[in-house]
Amino acid sequence: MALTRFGYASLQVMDVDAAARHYVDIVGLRETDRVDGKVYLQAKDNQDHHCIILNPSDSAGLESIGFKVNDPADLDNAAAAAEAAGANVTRIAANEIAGQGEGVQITLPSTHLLTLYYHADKIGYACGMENPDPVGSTETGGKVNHLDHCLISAENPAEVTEFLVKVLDFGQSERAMDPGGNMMISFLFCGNTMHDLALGPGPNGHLHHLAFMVDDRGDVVRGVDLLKEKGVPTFDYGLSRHGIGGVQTVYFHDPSGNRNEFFSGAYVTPGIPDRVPPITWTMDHLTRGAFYYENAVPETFFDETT
Amino acid sequence: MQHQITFLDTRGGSVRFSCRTEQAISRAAEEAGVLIRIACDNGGCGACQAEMQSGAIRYLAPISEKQRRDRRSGELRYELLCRAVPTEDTTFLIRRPWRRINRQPMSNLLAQLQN
Repeated sequence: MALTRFGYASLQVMDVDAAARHYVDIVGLRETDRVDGKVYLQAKDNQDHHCIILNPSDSAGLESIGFKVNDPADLDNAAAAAEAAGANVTRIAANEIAGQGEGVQITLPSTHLLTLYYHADKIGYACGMENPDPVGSTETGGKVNHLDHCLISAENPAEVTEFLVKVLDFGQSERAMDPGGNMMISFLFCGNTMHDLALGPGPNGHLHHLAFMVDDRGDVVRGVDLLKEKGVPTFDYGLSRHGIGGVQTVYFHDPSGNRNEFFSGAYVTPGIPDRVPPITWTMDHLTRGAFYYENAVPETFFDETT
Repeated sequence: MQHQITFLDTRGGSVRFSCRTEQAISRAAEEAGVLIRIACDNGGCGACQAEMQSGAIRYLAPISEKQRRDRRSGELRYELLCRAVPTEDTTFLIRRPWRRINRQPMSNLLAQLQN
């Protein structure tokens, strides 16, 4: 079985139109579809129908996350493996989610819904599919290439990590352990870079953040400038660097309070997942691991999730 | 028009300040040098949860209903101060400790200009 990439996040928002404006004007995504009150969006360097689905709701949060598999047969394999591990598994018919083929929805031990799918309708790259310009529009939104990863919260990150590694073949690149040996934070990958799905401490079923990848530090700086110019609420720190992953980062919030990140510089993780040992962070160094420049973590960083 | 806002903490502390009828309570608190926890500033994350003990509020924009509820019992418990404005004098029990900052005259002027 092979999961190939983090495909999409299906978000709950209190105001779909305000959220759509945010993800187009600030994040820089393309609106690709509107079906039954839901809005679908995609970044410039991904040909699939969507990487974000906005669902009208009375609360902010995460409806589900989607991961693509390498082969249609992986859906049956994953469903069987998840059921054998005791997880609830349901089937999704083709086009039940717009622009997407049949899928398998697995309830993680943290109650998050994880949807696996093989087919996505193709809309092409933003630059077009024939004789494109190498650089996309220089005028709209953040210079986001693609939706890269998400951090979700769990009462027991170790339990969810074990499920994702043993059942769905994720690899672990980095982790933070408390003095009692309990895993507090876990960075997992199925694609080419160090995190596709990360777990942090907090309520089951909640979202900590969605991360959008930009080319380089310059684009993160431009992202901060854009956020400030447009009055988008940012996290306590502006531009910073995570010790974990070493990435350049800025956090901000969509109009429903769901946290977003512009970041660049994730290192590559080639190789067979379970043969690449993870980096371990101990609690006495975690402030540096979280925010390398400030060497401090505001209370709001892990406590507030949607 | 202004209303009086009172914050109470769980250890018997209190602070009182005024808030305009179109102003988020979190902003009025900041102007008064009372810093409560704010993260998303968009009614979604629950950092600014507070229990209303008396008075009345309305919301400037939609807020996340699940952050108004107690996570264990599911009962309605909190208001979110980043998008709440008072419609009368109102008292809140603040879930997380606030910080006081003593502003110099120049800082007070800057705070007023910026809010």
